[in-house]
Amino acid sequence: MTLEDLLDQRGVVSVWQWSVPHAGRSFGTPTIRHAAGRTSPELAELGAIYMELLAHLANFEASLLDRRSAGLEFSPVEAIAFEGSRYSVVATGNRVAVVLDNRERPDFWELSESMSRTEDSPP
Amino acid sequence: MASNTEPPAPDGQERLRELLSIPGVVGAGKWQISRDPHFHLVRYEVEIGDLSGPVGWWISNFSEINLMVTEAQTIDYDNETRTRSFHPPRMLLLRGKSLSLLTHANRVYAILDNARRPDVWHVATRLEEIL
Repeated sequence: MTLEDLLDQRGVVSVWQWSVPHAGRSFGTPTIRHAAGRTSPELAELGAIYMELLAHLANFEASLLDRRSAGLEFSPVEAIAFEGSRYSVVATGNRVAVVLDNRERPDFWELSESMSRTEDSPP
Repeated sequence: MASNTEPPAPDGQERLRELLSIPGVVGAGKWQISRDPHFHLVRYEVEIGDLSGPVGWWISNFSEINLMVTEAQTIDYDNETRTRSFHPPRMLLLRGKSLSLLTHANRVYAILDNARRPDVWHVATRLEEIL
């Protein structure tokens, strides 16, 4: 599955993929590898920065919840999403994000699994 | 530290309990912010389902932080696009390994069992009904 293929999924209006330098412990500024659909370089970069931040937060939280509970398995966080007033944003662990039109009510589970299977775009 | 000693409103607790009738919803809770001007505490109110101990308190704290980040994020998106397309956010979802956390902006959350793939849009709407 390519990044463009995601645009064929119900409700998806834009997609982008990013990478971070020195992935791991250090925090680098995300670099957009590819973007498609109704987006702009500025919006894609903003989305990458915010979703990267949320993903770090979410992974930290999930690991702590796992440690503080018996039998819960939140970690690792595989996808994060928020529903905005008209559009939503979903991001997956392979640093792919999509903007969704809320009126289409796409299947979150199916979509996030497709996103996780997306091939890396060339830098 | 947060307190969970105050009894929740019966109606709210009953509505939270009703969430468990949705296939795939295994827990739910609600919290609120202290109005004390000196202490910005998160107060965990209700937790039901297969969760126990302080987990609901942690979830409430984390959800409050996540909602703040999401709030700022959507304002910036709207500024960037010069639209009102993202703000205000309604819900936030973290998909974990086996469980997911669905948080509504009105400070209610549900824990989802990923294997049962509940309809996220439907659960968010039901969460919205709990004030």
